[in-house]
Amino acid sequence: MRIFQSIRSFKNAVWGASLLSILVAGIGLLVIVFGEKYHLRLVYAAYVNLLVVLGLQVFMGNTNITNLSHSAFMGLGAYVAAICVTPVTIKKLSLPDAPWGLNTFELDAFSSAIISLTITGFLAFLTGLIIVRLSGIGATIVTIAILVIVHSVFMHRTDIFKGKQAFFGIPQVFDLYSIIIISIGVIFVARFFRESKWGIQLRASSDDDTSASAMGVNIFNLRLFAWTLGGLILAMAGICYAYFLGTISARPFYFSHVFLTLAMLILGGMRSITGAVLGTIMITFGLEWVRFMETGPVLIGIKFPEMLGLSGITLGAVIVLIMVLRNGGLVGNFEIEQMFLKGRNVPKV
Amino acid sequence: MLSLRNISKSFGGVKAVSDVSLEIEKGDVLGLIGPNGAGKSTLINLISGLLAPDNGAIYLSGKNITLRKSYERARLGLARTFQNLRIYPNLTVGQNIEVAEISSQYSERKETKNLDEIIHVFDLSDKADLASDELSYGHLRRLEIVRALALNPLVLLLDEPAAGMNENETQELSNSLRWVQENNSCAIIVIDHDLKFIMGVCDKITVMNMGEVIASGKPNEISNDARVKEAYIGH
Repeated sequence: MRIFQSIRSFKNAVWGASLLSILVAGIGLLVIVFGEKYHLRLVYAAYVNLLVVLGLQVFMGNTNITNLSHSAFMGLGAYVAAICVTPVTIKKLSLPDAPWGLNTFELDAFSSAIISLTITGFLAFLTGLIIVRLSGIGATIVTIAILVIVHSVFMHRTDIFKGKQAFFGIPQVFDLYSIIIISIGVIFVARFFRESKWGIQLRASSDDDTSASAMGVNIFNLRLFAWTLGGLILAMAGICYAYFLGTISARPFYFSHVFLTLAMLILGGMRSITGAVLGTIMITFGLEWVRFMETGPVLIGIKFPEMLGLSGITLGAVIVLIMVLRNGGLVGNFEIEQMFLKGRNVPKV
Repeated sequence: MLSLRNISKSFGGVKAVSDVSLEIEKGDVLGLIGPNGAGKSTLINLISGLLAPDNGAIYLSGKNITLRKSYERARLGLARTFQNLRIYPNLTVGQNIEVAEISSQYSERKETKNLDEIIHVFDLSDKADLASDELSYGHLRRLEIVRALALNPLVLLLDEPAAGMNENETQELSNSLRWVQENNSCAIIVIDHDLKFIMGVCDKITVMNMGEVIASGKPNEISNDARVKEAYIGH
């Protein structure tokens, strides 16, 4: 079965994904060569966020339905992998009351990741059956409900997830090189999906679902596919998170992370993979500067006051300003290869 | 090819379409005319599956499609345009056409398609890479028709395709539709208020008023029909 309707779509997908991969890998390699240990952790976290933003883009960018449950799927991916991969000796200590024999087995990192992707993907599929029947505000409210339900389970099933306490002892499987390679893979997946036959039909349905349906588009199936694919990418982000940090807790998989990654996607432009990558880079670097300003530094001889909470205000302001001034994000429908390839114009948003 | 049997549809207490039966065969161009509120667009929406009839049945190539969803009917061979333009603004002109072309691959019909020729006849050959908002109004109307034809349809439903067009554009559209009739095997149903356009393009005309079919026949018969004059023309 053909994935792309035209050679042009295939060419654009390959060029665009390759250029973004060079950009993303370049930043990572610069940090590996010149950065300090603190920078490595920071950039690793940025790569995890990039995976989350790409997972979010696959559904939200192609359907125009706002999803606020992405951090829940990332959390599910992280916990399932962590439970499978953590050595039994540590689990006996940290999860003494775990049900279903969860503290009696341990698997290798690869098998754990596969199980995590399978379970999270299946849960994404099941929740997708509800989400894709809805549209607009109804669908978004259901995604918030999913986030709250998953978070409540994380917080209160302490015998499995340890709630507010740290789930520790996860082997450190990944390093910066690993996540750079995974990010490149996910950039290709997201971009290929966008340019595929299904991506084009899904984007048409996000513009006008009545007209798309009259043109033979099976909107239900396409949305379900995009939702599940997005869920798998989010699970991969969670796995990467757990496999690097070694310790996870429920708190990071909630509203503050939802808004951080949402701001990244909205700033860059949710309809484009270039926008997703650009937004992640800009917010990551921008927030580091804002956090520095929060501490009340002395700059050019001027002592700035402490401004605690400035990063939250900045994220909120970014979302408001982009929505008011340029609601298609900084790049709209633009993709990076259009700087180099002749031809296709960019529809304005 | 397409057969409507006693189709009715009410909105609240208002009968929008009342007991309408129609037959259209391969190669026919049927004009559907009538005053505002006659039920023409409702009938197109019922045929294309955007609305479900209260009574009656719709058959396409002998297959009962009354309960089929809109996207299934499109894949079975019912293509349509809209009274108000419904182009996908975030896709290019070429991608707008691709949306329907992709769906045509799910169809069981294996007829050879001449999509490049259709695009040429409708003057969109050099516009595939343009953003759809760069097209003139007349070209946007053509794009909707080409997009519908990209489905490789058995029946093409055109809901006021000449609305808002000037005389030259309307004439070009007439020529293009004649070309489609001669070079494609599909049947066409056209709604429009421009009677000159309808008379020039259609072989048969059905006149609706108050949700009912009041006359049906060749263009010259219709223009001499007393009921039609009373309801629509004769004022």
